[in-house]
Order: sequence, then structure tokens, then C-alpha cells
Amino acid sequence: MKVSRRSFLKAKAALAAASVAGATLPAALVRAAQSGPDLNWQKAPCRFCGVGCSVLVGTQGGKVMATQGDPESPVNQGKNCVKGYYLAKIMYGEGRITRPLLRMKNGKYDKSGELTPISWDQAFDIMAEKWKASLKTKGPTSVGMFGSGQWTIWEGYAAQKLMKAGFRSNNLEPNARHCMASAVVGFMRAFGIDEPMGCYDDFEHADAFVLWGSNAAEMHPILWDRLTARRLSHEGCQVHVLSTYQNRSFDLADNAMVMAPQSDLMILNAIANYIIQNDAVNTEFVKKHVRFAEATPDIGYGLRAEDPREKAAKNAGSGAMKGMDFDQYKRYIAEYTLERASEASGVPVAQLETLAKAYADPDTKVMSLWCMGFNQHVRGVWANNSVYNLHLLTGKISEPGNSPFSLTGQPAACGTAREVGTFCHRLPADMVVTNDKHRDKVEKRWGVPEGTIPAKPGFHAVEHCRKLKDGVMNCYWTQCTNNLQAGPNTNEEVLPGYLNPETFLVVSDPYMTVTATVADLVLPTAMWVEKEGAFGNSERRTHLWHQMVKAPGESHSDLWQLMMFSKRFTVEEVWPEALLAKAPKLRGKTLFEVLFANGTVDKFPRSDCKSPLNDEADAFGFYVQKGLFEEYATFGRGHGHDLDSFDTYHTNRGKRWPVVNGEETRWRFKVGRDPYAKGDGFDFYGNPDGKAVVIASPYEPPAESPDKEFDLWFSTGRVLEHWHTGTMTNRVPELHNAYPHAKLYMHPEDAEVRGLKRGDAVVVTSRRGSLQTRVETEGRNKPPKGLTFMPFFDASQMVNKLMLDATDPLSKETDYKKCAVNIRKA
Amino acid sequence: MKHVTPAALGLLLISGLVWAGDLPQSLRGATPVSDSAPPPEMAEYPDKGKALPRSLAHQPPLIPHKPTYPITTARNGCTGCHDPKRAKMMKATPTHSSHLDEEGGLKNTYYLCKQCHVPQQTVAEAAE
Repeated sequence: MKVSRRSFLKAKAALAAASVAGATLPAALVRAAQSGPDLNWQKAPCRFCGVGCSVLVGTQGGKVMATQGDPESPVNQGKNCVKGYYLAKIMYGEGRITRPLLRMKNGKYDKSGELTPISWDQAFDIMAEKWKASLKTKGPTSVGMFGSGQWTIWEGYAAQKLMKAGFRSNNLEPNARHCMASAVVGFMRAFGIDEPMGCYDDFEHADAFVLWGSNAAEMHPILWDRLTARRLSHEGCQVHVLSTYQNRSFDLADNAMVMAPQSDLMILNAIANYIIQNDAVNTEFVKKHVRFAEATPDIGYGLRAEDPREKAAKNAGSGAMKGMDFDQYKRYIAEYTLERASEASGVPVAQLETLAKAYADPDTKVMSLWCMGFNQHVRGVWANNSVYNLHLLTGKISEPGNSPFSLTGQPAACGTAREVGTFCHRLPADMVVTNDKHRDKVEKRWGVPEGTIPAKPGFHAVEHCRKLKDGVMNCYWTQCTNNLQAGPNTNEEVLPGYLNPETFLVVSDPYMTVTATVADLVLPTAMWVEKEGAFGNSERRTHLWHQMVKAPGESHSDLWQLMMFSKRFTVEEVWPEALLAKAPKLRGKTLFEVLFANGTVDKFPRSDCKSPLNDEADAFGFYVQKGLFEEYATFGRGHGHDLDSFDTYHTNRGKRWPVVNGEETRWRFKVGRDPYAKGDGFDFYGNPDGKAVVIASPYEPPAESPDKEFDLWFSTGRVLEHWHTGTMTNRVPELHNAYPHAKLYMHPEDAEVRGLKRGDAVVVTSRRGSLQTRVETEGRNKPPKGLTFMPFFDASQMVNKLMLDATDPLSKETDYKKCAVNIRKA
Repeated sequence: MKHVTPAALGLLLISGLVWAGDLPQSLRGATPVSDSAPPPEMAEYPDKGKALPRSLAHQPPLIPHKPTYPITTARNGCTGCHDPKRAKMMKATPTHSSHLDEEGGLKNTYYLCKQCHVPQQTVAEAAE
């Protein structure tokens, strides 16, 4: 694997040239197609999105040679999307980091030095020195960690233990905060328990599909294929697509609606109002299973406290709700008529009525789908709750085909971030740090003294960067994420935070990401099938895989790194005497001994692992992954989050929790289908009264809208061919050449009035920065006049510097879909 | 370190230097994160082309021409040439048998060809 960057570029150029000439490339430049009998095929979930397809991975000679869709997978049934077919290449791109790198000058650490290879011992030495000094002088809130919805379940769980019990810091967050925090808060407020009640089987049962701002055709391609198959084979099936611009999902739309940004709140309320005005409420269901509440209005935008928009908000950050009855709810939403929604959104009344009828008609089974359009939204929680309102008013929920379905972005956003609870306020199985009983339960299970886990939530993801910039948090470790490219308001918050002289930034990554280029310490990291792993997908499916190949050079998994680092601390160095006095038996022990060699995590021998490769089990002398999984699973078993036994997951293609007596649950809350649901018909057992909550919320404007100076909307997102920041996919020649660089999609007339044509170089400027790109007026996205879209995968065109770091004040998730820019010729 | 000969030390230094000069690179290039570089040329896709080589087993064929043929519920713009009944005449790669139902029609789950088949740009990026 010694190919210089120059020859890599040559190879890319040759491939590009070959696509003109139709020539065959020399075998030395691209790996020859190899299938044949010598490949060893094993199953693994795909590395990319939240759909959770299973793939068969073919290895030979210590290398992944090919992948194919897994015919035994109920999710993808033998298919992949384009990214999945190139999984075999993601580990072998140029730019793999193979040794720890420390920023050094004159032989020692220096923030202004150059990245220089060092040993793992030296790496942990400097990290431990920084962490210990920080903990000693400023306490636990001065250290933080930023992980991922792409962490394996046990990596998230190990990080959870090390941060919240070991370092006693709740400053642990996943990049999933940027991705589905609004969905979580929506679930907790309405149902008291996280994650969808339905599952992918709903695709084969629904009569109507409604895409609320989701472009599933590109972002969840395999689910889109299942939806397409239903649309083409089921008579009368209708697809309603709402978005702020025309995209690939519109190709299939029977009712295509381009709406103004933020007007979704109007449309949602207008449909609820329509349902009530047209006597389409399922009165029996509502009486038995629903109660009503009102959200607190005027809650601000999650900006820094000194921002005028925060000062102007009457109830900044308030998630308080007050109960109301049906008649009060009816009056509350009466002002939201289809006409008013039409005026605000630009969608004709007739089309809104067609959409409303799909919900109102008791004989139409409706599946609502949404992802970042709702979640990355300054009122994302309200939007999530408002779509549940439609399903609850009509009783269209928890039954095959009647399904409000929150799509997830990352492969383990559910499995790791949400279920393990790697957020600054969460603990496993929907528990929270602010609840005394929850902390007590976790502390007992972990064998740490009462009071170990702080009761105060830590800093959330967007706050991480603000606190680094302000010098409040100083030691910061990121794993499995590239926040300098993916985080909002890069130039004003993220980069200054990372470059603050007081900050010591550690980045674990397989590749040299832009975040790694500014790190003080870079740790070479094993990825995907270079380690044993577990993901949990959008439909509550937990799926495991074995290590199949060795990682290059000195790379080690995030799990190995977390556990090895824990050996560097004794409890005396990190806990106060008062806490130690409660657990004298732990005196003198390392955090590794307290957290991992604790009698439960180290319970299973290496020989329990059926794979010849398991670097972590070899390193620590026990079956680390099984021990962590089984300890973690005890939190959810018997509490509606039951996972199956570890070993069974290695033999199947995953099961959907709760798994009770080996049986998975497809539709939760429905008596007869969910073993936890008791009584009559439905049981929303996440709430003590067994009822789901319809939550009324008003329309409120975005944090920033176009004006005279910044006259266009700007939105960002993904493309089919690339995963997130392109770290892996943009190193695969075929994916790179399919969609090599970001570009700015705009309406041809918007281009014309600015003297621009397709292909022109332009400068895009927001209040926070500017970048150069090229104009696209054709192709897969067709924005309406006044709106532009540009994907964020391209490291050479970092769009998130344009974004405002405004969040939903309840979920703390950034709105990446709405800010104001101007555009001029470069 | 006392057993290390000067020659070995020299070698170590040289290899270290070589390594340092060969640090893994980000995909951003040399432009500082806070700046922005002029964008590369727009990707262009050829009007026509012969089948492209495949480098992996189970790899879906790449599209050797522009991907502008529309696929809607009303019609699939790809099957006109790639339907196995017409492919030879059209000099196009025939649809793989795994994608076809018993009557030889395209299965519904394979209706959206561009979920897996993607075009390749013709603009070679300037080598360093």
C-alpha cells in the first residue's frame, strides 16, 4: 500500500481519461476484479447510513477484496446502494494514518509545531499528562469528548464509562447531536421512550407515503427502493413529497410540493386542523390513548446568551409543557387553515388538501418519513411532535403501514448514541443524569460509589466548541467524526476552539481529515471490519460483525484506545477523597481495573469469540466486546429495551428490540404485537399513564432569513455517492469521479439576474464567512427562486463556515438547512 | 540508546525525515481551513462511451455516458437501451438477469438505476 499522492492522482486522472476512451486500465493501478472460490465471505452491516443494510464481505490474503448485498438480510434483501458496492475500497484509500502523530517542535509537544510520528506510549504519556493537569487544576468539566453515531455500541459504552464514571465529566457527546437529537426529544415528549414504534415492514403495507423534507431517494436509497417497489405494485399508492427544493425524491412524487423554509410548522398544524374540521378524528382512539399538552412558545435559538435573539426570547430554552384538553387544542390550532399554510409555504391549497386527505381518510394507511429536514431545524422538536399529532389524532400508529417513521442518518445513531446514551445528559436505556434513581442504578451496576456520576448535564456538542473557544474546556478527544468540516459556524466557533492555545485536541481517525490536520495529537484508528463491531439501525435492529482483517501499521480501534488510556489513571488521580472514602476497596486501582476488569466486562474468555481475529480480546486477555455488550444490555432487559444474547447476533442479520424470549418486536405499543403492551388495543407504556401526548406548538420564524444584504436561502446536506464529509467515499476513485466536488445548486433565473451561468466560479458569503464554488443550474436538485443548496462532503469547499450555530433550543441540534447568503461572481 | 551505532542513528533519522515528508494528506489540499481556494472545473460527463472497466467483483457497471435520462413513475429512461431485448442492437450493456422478473421485465426494486449505477467525470484533475 505504498502509493504516493502523486501516483494516486495520476491513477484518478487515468481513470477519468479511460472513461472517455473506454480503455482498460493497467492492472497495477486498480485492483483486478477477483471473486472466485478463494474469498472468505462473512456478514457485516454496511459502514455508512442509518438504513443498516447487511453486506457480505469477501476477504483474501488479509485484505477485503469485494462486498455484495446480503441475500439473507431482511433490510436490503441482497441489494446495496452505490456506496455499499464500493465498501471494499474504503479502507485502502490514500491518506491512512498508520502511526500516532504529535505536534512537535525541538523534540517536544508544541502547539505551533509540526505533526511528527511518535509511539503509542508517548501518545498516551502526553495525553495523560494533559488530562491529569486539567482535572487537577480545573476539575472534570474541563475535559470533554466528542464521539459518533458511527461508533460501535461497545465503543460508545466504554466512552460513557470512562467519561462519566472515570473522569466524572458529562461533557460527552456524539456527532449524532447534529443529526437526530430533535427526534429523540420528540419521542421522549410524546411517548416517554425513544425510537420508532414501527419498522421497515411498514414500507410493504402503507397506501400513502409522506416525505417531510426528507430526500430519501439519495440519503436512504435502499428504503427508497422498497418504497418505489410498493408505489409501482400497489394500486392507488400515493407518494407525497415536501421539500424546500425539488430533488430526486420528486421523481416518484404523485403530489410534489416545494415549500418555503420553516413553513412545515404551518402545514403540519393546518393538516391537524383539517382533520378536526372534517370530523376525521379517531375519537375512540384519542379518548383511550391520547392526552393533550401545549408547548411553551418563544424559546429562542440556542445561540450564545449575549445574542440579541436570545435576549429577545421570553422563554429561551424552555421545554415546559402544560396540559390542555381536546377542545382547547382544537381552538389552539383553528387559526392554521390550509389557506394560511398555502400562503406561507407557496404550496397550492389543492395540493395541501390532497395531502391532508391522506391523513384524514380512515381507509388510507399512511407512513410519514422525515430525517434532517425536521431534525436540523430551530423548531425540530415541535416539527417531530406535530407529525406525531397527525398520527395520534387519526389513530394511525403502531400498526402495519400506519407509521410515523423517524429516519436516522448514521449506522449506530440509534444503537450507540441513543441507546447507550452517549449524550451529555443521558445514560443507557433512556435514563438521564439528572434523575437520582437513574444515576444510582448505573453507579451500582458499574460498581462505583454513589455520587460518582455528576447530576448536572455536561456541555452539548455546539457548546463544546464555544467552551473550547472560551477556554472553559481544554482537553478534548474526538473519535470517529470530523467536526471541523461537519460542525456549524466553523470559522467563528469550531476552529477558534480547536486552535485556542489552551486547547489540547486529540483526534482519532483512520484518515487524515481536516479536523486531524489541526489536531495536537492524531491517533491512527482501525475502521469497520478491522475490528469487531455492533451497530443499531433506524428500525431498532441490532447487528454485529467480526473482525475480518488487520488494521494497517500501528492503528488500533477506538475501543482499544479508550481502554488503554484508562490504564493511565488511578482513582486517586481523578476522584476526590470524599468519593474514595465511600469505596475503600477501589483505592489504588486504575480506571481500567474499576471500569473494565470489574468482574462483568472481563467475564468472558477470548475463546468465546469464534473469529480468529480479535485484536482487543488478544490485547486485554478477555472477550472485551461480549463483556461490554452483556453488561450494557442489563440496563435495557426487562425495561422495554431488551437485547438478545450477544452470541445470537453473530449468527443472524440482526433483531429489532425489544427482543423477548428470542422474539423481536416489529410494532411497539400495540397489544398482541409488543410483549410490553398490556390492556386494550394500544399501550404507550413509556408514559406512566399509558397515553401518548399530542403537543400543540405555534409557528415561529427561523433564526436568520434572507434580507437585502444576504438575499438567498442556503441549505446543506448529503449526496447519494458520498458519506458525510467524504473521508472514506471521496477516496474511492469511482465514487469521487461520480460526484467529485461540491457545487451550488440555484435557480437559473437567480443565476441570470446576477450575471451568472452554469459552471461559473462564485463567492458565496454569509455573515460568518465565504467560500468559492461553481454554479449548477441543472441536474438532480432544482431549487425554487430564492434558495440555494450545496452539499458538505467536499473538504476543499467547507460549507459549514457559512452556517449559523443556531439550534433547536430543546434538542440543541443545529439548523443546517436555513441561513442567508449572497452570491457574486468570483 | 548506547547500543545504537552512529550509522544506525543516521538511518533512523533519514527514515524519520522520509516519513515526515510523506505524512498522510487530507483531501483539502494546501488551502488553510479558514480560507477558500478557487474551485476546480465543473465535472463533465461524456455524451457517449464504451463500457468502463470494473475493478471489483459484484461491482455494478459504471455509466459511460451522461446520466441525464429521466426515471419517473411514467417511464424509465434507461431501459430503452439496456433492456436485454434491445441492448445488443443499441450497443449497450444488457440489464443483469438478477434485476429481471420471470417475464424479463425490470423488477420494481431495481427500478431506480442510478441508486447503484453512476457516471464518471471526464475532466482529469490536474496532477500536482
